Amino acid sequence: MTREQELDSLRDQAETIKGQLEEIQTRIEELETE
Amino acid sequence: MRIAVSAAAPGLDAEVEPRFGRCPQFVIVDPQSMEFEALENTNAMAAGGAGISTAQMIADKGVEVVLTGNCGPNAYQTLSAAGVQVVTGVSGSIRDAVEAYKAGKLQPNAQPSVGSHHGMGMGSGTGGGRGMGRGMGGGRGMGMGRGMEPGMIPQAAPQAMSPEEEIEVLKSQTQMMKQQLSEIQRRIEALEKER
Repeated sequence: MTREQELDSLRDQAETIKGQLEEIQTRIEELETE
Repeated sequence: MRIAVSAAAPGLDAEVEPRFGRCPQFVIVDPQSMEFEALENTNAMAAGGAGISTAQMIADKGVEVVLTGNCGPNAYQTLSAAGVQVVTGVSGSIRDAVEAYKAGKLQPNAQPSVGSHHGMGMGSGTGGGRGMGRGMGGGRGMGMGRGMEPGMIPQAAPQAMSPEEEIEVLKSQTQMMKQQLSEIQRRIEALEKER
């Protein structure tokens, strides 16, 4: 894997994790308001 | 009732895939009519949190039971919180697995069958897996399969978590994922400086 490919892969991974964190945060907020 | 089976391929004659979070497909079966729906697992190649994301996807499908080979703690907790029963140690064809469940031969687990990150890096490998290993070392256990533990023996039905317990689990998952994100960002910065 070239450096550029690794960077692209890592950026994709970072975006995926950010999206998942947002989903989890939304769920936490739902639970806290129940 | 709807049963989700982790699958290597779509169709009732496909083999049960041993991994839950990173299986390529799910086959969701109505055990009465044996009608099924094939569902691609879009989280199979995710860098992290595949178990949680897959569990949420399955729970959103209105599934009541999951049949799979192994299920890690994050996925198990997420499924349990959604009231989905998990049966591990399942193998063979999807049709046979569903028939075995209908016959009462398979019982839900009371706990995850494997530890965290079981199954990551298995199979043909992904770009993400290679990148992570190179950037952050093997300390996170990626690609390190674990053997099945005694807990995979079917036990009593799981109890759904209370909202407070689910919040604690989710907060714990959040911390873990933030740590992963931090490691990825450090690696990105290091690579950018090498330019």
